[in-house]
Amino acid sequence: MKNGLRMLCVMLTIALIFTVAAPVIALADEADTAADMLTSVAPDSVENVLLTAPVGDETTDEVASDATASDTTTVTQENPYSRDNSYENFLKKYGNSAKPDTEIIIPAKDYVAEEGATPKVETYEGKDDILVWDSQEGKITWQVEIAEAGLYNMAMSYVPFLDNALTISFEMKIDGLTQFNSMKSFEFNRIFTNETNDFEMDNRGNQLRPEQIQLAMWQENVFNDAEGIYIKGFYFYFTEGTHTISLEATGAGVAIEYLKLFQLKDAGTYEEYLAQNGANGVFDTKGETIEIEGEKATLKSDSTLAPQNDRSDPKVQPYSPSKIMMNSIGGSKWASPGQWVEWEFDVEAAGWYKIGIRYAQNYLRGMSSIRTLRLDGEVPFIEAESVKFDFTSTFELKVVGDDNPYYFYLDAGKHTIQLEVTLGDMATSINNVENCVYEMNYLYRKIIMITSAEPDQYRNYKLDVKINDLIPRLKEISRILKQEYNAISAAAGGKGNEAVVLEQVYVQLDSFIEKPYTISKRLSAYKENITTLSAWLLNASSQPVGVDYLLITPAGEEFKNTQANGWDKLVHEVRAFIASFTEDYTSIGNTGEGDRTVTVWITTGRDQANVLKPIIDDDFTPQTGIGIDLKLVQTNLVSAIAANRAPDVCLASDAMNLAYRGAVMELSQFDTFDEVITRFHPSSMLLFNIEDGYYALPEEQTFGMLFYRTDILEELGMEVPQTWDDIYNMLPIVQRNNMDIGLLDIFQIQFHQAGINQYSDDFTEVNYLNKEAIDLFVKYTDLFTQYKLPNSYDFFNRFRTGEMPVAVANYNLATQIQAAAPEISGLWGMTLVPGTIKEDGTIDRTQTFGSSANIILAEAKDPEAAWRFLDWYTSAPTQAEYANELEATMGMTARYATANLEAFEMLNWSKADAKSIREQRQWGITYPSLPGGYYVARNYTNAFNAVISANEAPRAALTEWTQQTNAELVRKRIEFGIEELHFEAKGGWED
Amino acid sequence: MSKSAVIDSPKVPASAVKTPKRVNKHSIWYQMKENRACYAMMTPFLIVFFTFTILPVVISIYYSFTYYNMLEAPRWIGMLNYQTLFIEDKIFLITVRNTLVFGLVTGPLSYMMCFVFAWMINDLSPKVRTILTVILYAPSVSGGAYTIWSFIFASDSYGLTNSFLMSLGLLNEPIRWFQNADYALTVIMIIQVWLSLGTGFLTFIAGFQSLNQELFEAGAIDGVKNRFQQLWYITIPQMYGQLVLSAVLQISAAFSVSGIVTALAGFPTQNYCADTIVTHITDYGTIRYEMGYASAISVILFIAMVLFNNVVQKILGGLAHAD
Repeated sequence: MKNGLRMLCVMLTIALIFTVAAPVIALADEADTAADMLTSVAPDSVENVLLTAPVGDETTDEVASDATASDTTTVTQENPYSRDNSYENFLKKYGNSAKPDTEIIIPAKDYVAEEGATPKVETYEGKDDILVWDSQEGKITWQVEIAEAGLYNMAMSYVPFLDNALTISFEMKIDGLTQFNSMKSFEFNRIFTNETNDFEMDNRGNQLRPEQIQLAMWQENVFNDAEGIYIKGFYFYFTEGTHTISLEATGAGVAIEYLKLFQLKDAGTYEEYLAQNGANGVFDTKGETIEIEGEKATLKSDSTLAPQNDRSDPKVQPYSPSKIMMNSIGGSKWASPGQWVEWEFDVEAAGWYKIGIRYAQNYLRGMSSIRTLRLDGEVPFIEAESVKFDFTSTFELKVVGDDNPYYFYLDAGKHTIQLEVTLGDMATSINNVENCVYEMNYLYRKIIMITSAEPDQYRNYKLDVKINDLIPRLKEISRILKQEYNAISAAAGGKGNEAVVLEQVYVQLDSFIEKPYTISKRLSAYKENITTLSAWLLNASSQPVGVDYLLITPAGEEFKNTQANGWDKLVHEVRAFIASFTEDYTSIGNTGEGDRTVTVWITTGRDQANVLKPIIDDDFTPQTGIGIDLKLVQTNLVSAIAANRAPDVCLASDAMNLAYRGAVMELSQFDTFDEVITRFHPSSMLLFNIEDGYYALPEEQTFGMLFYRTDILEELGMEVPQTWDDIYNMLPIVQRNNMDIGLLDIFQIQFHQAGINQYSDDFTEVNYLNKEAIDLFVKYTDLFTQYKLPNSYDFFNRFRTGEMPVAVANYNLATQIQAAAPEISGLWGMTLVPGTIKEDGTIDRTQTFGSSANIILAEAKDPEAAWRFLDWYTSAPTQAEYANELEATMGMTARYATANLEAFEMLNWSKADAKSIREQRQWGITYPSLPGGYYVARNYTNAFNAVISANEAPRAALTEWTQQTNAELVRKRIEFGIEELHFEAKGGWED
Repeated sequence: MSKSAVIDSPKVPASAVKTPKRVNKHSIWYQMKENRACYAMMTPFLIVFFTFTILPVVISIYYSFTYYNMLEAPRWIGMLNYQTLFIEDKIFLITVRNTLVFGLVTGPLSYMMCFVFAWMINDLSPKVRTILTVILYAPSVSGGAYTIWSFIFASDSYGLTNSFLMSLGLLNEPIRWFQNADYALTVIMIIQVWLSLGTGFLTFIAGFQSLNQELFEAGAIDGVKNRFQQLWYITIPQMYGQLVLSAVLQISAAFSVSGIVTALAGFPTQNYCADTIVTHITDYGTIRYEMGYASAISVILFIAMVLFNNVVQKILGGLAHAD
């Protein structure tokens, strides 16, 4: 009855809201406007905040708190992390200096100093006197004598080491100084190729993706912008005299031949190109068209640029309506600036040729993806620097030069054609908008420091006065956005659908400038705009194109018809539909061949399965002769066991619930078990331990880390917190500036750091009823009831806007921030979770970690073979290859949190991050999985919610719910007839 | 379907005629043989119905008397599951209460709303009627449409309802609608009503379409004064079939609510504030691997649903034949 009444009330409220709301809002707005118009009216009513003083009268602002007072000082401060040190500003300063046309070569062997780099000078990859720098760390310094002061481009001749696939990156300093921010990270590419261009087939007629193997090829690459914003190579300024240039390894090392100072030459115009090659205005070369299959690229800069299957169009080559054919390259993976693909082809007769590319670009509606075209390593003429691939929903032929094709002169013999992603005209726009996003975020923080994230709707905060440069800054942002919107629209032929976002934002900013008193009210829309704009940036700076094949057609011939007509498409769809009844789409790759076959279920996803299967087929099956039937299954393992259809091995599965019920095989019986478990953190196996048996191997392991915004901490004059006391001390300061700290679920961490075991010694009770635990819980819930920290939030968005400059979150979120929030790149960090100071003064950072499990089912037909598979799968080389391939295929955000300690070191974490994660992992502990253990987390949450939502006393709530947990633990023991439980995990269990 | 056989059979007691080859025409076997065409046509359905409805019900009744964890063979334990269920399981009582609230509030409410909407819409022009029908029916067709509500009732201050109430100054801090025991059930009930307007509503529309118009004319001559009299004395008695069908659908829908609870409020819900019997079954069946116990709960739910259906049919029967 009570509930019925309550529901009635809520419904009435909602009805009321919908009817009353609109006029109220309208009223509020009118009132605001009225207030603005009536600035001369003397403010006598303290209550009526709407009609407070005229703008600029500080004294009548009766609600001005300490916060606002202290803010005015910070507002005027310059942001130390602002982008003043950008390349743009560098160019403003030095852009007009001379550009001496000399070339200076600095042989790498002549370095003058090194710190911790331990380089060797030896013969390497066919060249003498090479500086082999394979330590992945340290710093090397060279000296250079400059005769003529001015701006120079720089290049490096290098060859990467093939034993890893880490990003090659360096930080450069000239005379120990950073001339502009981008010098902090220069990236150099590796070179990959298909292992074979005769694609192998599995036994179901599907082509297999060839492995991408790395080549040790010498390259001379220019020091340029990894983000592609500055298209040309960077300039560095040198005065006359002796200078030092130092490189510090921030990624993988390389073997260096030389460094070079020189001037990059711009390509000439098309007319110049024609004149140089003796064109006489007649282009009538006859002959055969050369067709180059896109997937058979000879070289590429990235392992993600592997051959792909595209079944969307009936005219792709090669074609099959149902089978997987490797028939295209690129697509969404060929999108970041600097990625290139190169094809080799043979020309029989010298002459003039035109180039056509059959492509698909259904990613950027209303915009183009841009490529730089190089023939034999050179951009033939300036127009080839940005070849535009317009949006198209199907595959289409792009003729270079469109209606008036450009003609290229080709000698008889071998040639290469290379397409490289570039941002083209978009580069400046993207740079400017990125700066705008940064500025907007900065202003947002300034504003919420005064208004809080939920401003009072009826108060005029007079933001334009309190933040003295608010209006000028908004005007500048609006001006830039307007300019970029027009530029993009013009480039896209007046449409610029994609740029509508910019318009939307500057319209809002303009109305802010016009009516500053509405800013606080429309703050949430402003914030959403920032998010949209960031999303737009990500979208716009990716330039995807998929290529089916290239046509090099003699100038006197016509391009062949490449367009599929309606009938082709109909036939294609019908065939594909019919095939869907006969094709087995759950199995990946070869299905069980040979005498010994193991059925493996993978539950994580199709991409994971597609990445794993080739590794198995190339490595495991040839090595052992055991065939693997890999199945992508998203369904319930329990039903499969009940139906007797269970696999032999299940990856990333539930383990212990099944183990307690006898469905999982015990693993320590296998001979290599003791060796295998040394691959993991010593505490890992405890999770899978019952009595003296072990029932699973860990797959992925994650735990929390502390994320912080360096710029905001700096602004507030705070250090990165190391202990919980640091956190509590900074909380008032952060909150006074209307920001928050994300501390959800830190209770568990504090609990373990207090040195309390999860369970009582006989494993019958969870230790939450111990006095210390209850005190911690009271303190923890106080954060939400007294300090009003948010108890539900989207970490990623709040962190990016800076609303939550410090938060504890899972470590694999770092890749998401890195990939999806470019505007704060370099402005945040990740470190160990705050710790508890122990008696001896050290900080205890203990934390539990979770882990997914790989199991062998009890009914496995060939346990020995299944174990060999698991042994192989969890080994460091396999895990590293799998992880890196996965990242290569799915992008950075798919970085795999491998439990294998050695494999972790081979992932693409930056050194600093890897170090923090490693250190945090060392503090990791686990507890055995008890029957009924799921009740611990459930009832802890129940207790927490009872305090937060129902205002129960924390002590009582925790006690009540913990008793229920204990009851369940006992109940489950009775179910399994367990008298006494003990665990004896090898290596792990620390007291 | 077996009507003809019944009529044809002569009314002679089988014992009276002692012809040896004479077959007992009352025997089921004989009747089935006589009507084999009909039975043949029914077979596919019966097979499916038996394997996927009757058999599982019977099996789960059996399981309810066993300890069964789905991985090992079931073990007979007699009434123990029921004993635990009624005596020890506190959470079961919470879920019973929640389910009853669901059943007794959303069931009748959405039933009545369906009827009223259908009645009102029925008088509109066919075009408008179609459009409105689609609007009202759409939520129940498009499976996951209710996830939109998780945005409307999002728990942080950016959720629609929260930000709205906060901007009006009615709230100072966001309410966690689905996590707060005071609101979760209510909010989910509102959503359930919205969601369940579909099928029942469609049945009623169909019912209104098939009414015998002559009766309305007759009613008009006999002195029906207003629409409500028309509704009460002519429309409702004619729609008995649809009323019962829709009631059965509504009741079973209301009693077996679980998907939307799990999707919106999590599983299990905070402090079990919105857990229903069905989510309780899922809890035991999948998280704790106690299929026997879960079966016992579902048997209880089954019995409860049958009882409720009978009661409702009695009430409706009274209503339809009131005069």
